[in-house]
Amino acid sequence: MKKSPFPLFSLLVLGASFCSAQSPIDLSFANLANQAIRFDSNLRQITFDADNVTNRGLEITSSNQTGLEGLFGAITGTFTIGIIDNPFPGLEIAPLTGAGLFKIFEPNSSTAAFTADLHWVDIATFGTAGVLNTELAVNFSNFQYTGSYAPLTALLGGNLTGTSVVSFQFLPERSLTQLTDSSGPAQHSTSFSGSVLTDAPAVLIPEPSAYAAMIAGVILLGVMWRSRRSAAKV
Amino acid sequence: MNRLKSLSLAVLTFGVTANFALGQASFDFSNISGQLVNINGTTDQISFGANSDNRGLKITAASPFSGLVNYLGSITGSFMIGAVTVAGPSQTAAVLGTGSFKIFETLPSSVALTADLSLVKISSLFGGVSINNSSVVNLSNFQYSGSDPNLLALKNASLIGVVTTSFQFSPNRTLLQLTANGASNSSSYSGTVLTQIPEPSTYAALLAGLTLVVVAVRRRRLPGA
Repeated sequence: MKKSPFPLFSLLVLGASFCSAQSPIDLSFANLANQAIRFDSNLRQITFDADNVTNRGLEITSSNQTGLEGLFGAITGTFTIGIIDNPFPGLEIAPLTGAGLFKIFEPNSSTAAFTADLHWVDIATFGTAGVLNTELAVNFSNFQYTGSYAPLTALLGGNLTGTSVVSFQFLPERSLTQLTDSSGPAQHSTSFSGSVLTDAPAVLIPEPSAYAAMIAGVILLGVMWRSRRSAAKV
Repeated sequence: MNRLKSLSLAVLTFGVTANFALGQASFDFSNISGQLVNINGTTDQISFGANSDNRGLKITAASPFSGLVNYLGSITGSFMIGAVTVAGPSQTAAVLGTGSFKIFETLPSSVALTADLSLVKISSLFGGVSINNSSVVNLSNFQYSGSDPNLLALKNASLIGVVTTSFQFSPNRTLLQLTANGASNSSSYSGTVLTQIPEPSTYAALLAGLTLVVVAVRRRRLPGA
């Protein structure tokens, strides 16, 4: 009797799916409707909005880690703008102090979340645009997640670190000096987007079809084993 | 001569009034899930993703027409990055080509408010990249043939406009890296639009100012004036 290669092949595929590691996880995100990055000119502080009910302020809009795109998250904490420097014409830069959390919620949850400690290091404005964490310093640490959603478990990656940068824009343009001018508007807010690169390797999470292949493979292995036993008895 | 000085002052006053009498509308937007800004280093082209319904971005805040929040839109067109200029930590290049900025009626409608769009310039600095960060007027020819009240309100407040977009990369990508042969980079993005239309009082002020100038010139030319 000729052995079918399918059972072994399907098991190998599944094994590879579970075990293989890819490049580090990256993801990008953008603010949700009515949720913005907010500058308090009196307090010289930056915060990120989040919905009062769902706690959500942003959406993961792409990732090389299966299952992360479409999840919602938030940036919490208050970040204070330090002394503004003008090292280059049109460029203003200042340190940011304070700490917060970067959160990614499980699907359909507003509480269970992956969290990372976050600090933004600094902020710069040039023309209409602004950037947080200009030198792309490592600013994510202490990854925490106790749930069982596999893509978020993959982000844990052994409690590693990550780097995030956020960009935003204003029309008319707003320099850091204007954003912290207490004699002007009390608040400025706008849309934002961001990118994250972690040290955690992306993990291939099997699709339902991979599980189907595994079940089919196990069944075929069973049938072959029974057939061989039957033949041996005869 | 004193009368001439007075007239000149009046014209100046009207000019200043005209500049500050412009009506404005503004809104912020961000990309939607899976739809990114893409830069192809081999062709030096910038494109913006859109889904099967042709939507690629969402309005996330709007003033004074707050009803526009959650409307979906897109940026279409073919844009090519020109030669890169390096100045300190900043890299800048002109962007050639034209396209459209669209805001659609709610699904399943495919009717949209459209405006002609040019991106003008792209700049990279640190991890951030911005398009049209000098606020050049780059939206014109606003068109809308539907009946959505929010889009009609925006159309009626929009003769010209400015759109600026920002995005970012981690790790950092300079413009020279983004346009290197073989490079292909995508990112989430956000943007802000500011539209303007002169109010009737502005036209009236300009007309009055011009009339005064003509009168002043004619008086100076009259013998013995």
